[in-house]
Amino acid sequence: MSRLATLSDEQLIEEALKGSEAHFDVLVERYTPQIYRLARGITNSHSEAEDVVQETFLKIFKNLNKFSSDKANFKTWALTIARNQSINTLASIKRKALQFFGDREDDDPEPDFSFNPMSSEAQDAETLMSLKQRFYQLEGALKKIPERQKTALILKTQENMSYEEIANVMSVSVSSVESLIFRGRKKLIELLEK
Amino acid sequence: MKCEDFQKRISKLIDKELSADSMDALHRHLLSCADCSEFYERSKDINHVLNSAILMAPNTALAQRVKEKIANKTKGSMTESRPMFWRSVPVYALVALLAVGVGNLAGKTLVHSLLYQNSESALELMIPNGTEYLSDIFVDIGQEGQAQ
Ligand SMILES: [Zn+2]
Repeated sequence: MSRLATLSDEQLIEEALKGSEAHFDVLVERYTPQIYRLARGITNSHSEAEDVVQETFLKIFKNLNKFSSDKANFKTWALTIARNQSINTLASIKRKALQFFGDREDDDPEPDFSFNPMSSEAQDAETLMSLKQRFYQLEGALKKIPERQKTALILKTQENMSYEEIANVMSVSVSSVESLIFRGRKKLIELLEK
Repeated sequence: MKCEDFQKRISKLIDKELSADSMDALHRHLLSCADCSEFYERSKDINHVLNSAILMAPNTALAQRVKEKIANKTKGSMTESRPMFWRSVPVYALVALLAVGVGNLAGKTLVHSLLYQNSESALELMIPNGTEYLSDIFVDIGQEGQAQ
């Protein structure tokens, strides 16, 4: 791990604001996976999610001087921007699909995750295959639930955020997050039963 | 309490958000209710699969591409905008000199014309893209909320 990678978000931002691209790059490395996963969950598309990651970091870069660590932590701020970017992208995908008449299946058919060899479950190729298959099946069901339920579920299950942190990203109350996640789970169970 | 209320608690239990004093009643209910037990098992299973996305990291080249794009942008703002501004000054100076030549600067001096141009460009440099303010970024929350 490089020395910079041990710095806190706030320290990295401070140096980035003084003009250090190297410090900003560490933020990019640190948050690309999380932003990608959220964007992919919302847009259902690998290529759109990659675009969202790029656009999100450009916005973060341009607005870094407006970030205030008193009001939010960087992760919450970055995921809020990523979510809004994803929602806009999703809206434009839907507009385009309408122009071409009908419900185009807009996701990429190829598996586009690469496996993280550091994880313990990676040792077992069969477990991985079955997990991947089940993940793609679940992604199919995720497409059919409302964005807010999906976002709350993704931030909980993939990013392990608390209800309170999720409430901050989504600008809703903690009890709304609780209810969104509950309804999302119920709906996913129903959809997977069919 | 209805099964729906217990299932809400189950959802919180899985998320590690259930308070300790609500656990006992839930555990007792789970022992006697097949529907809620099934909801618990299925929810746990969905969680496990959703969580597996963590194992499947995005392409490592993505972060690299983002860094390159930002590096290009910063280079772009240093090398493109400034020469464009300085290139435009002689044109204005020429126009202004022509105006002096016919003895009419529409009430403005040559210095005033150049200063006016100067301040406009400085503003453009300070605000690279006028549409990308935080207010734009935070727009949209809640717009899709009504549908749910
Ligand atoms: Zn029950």
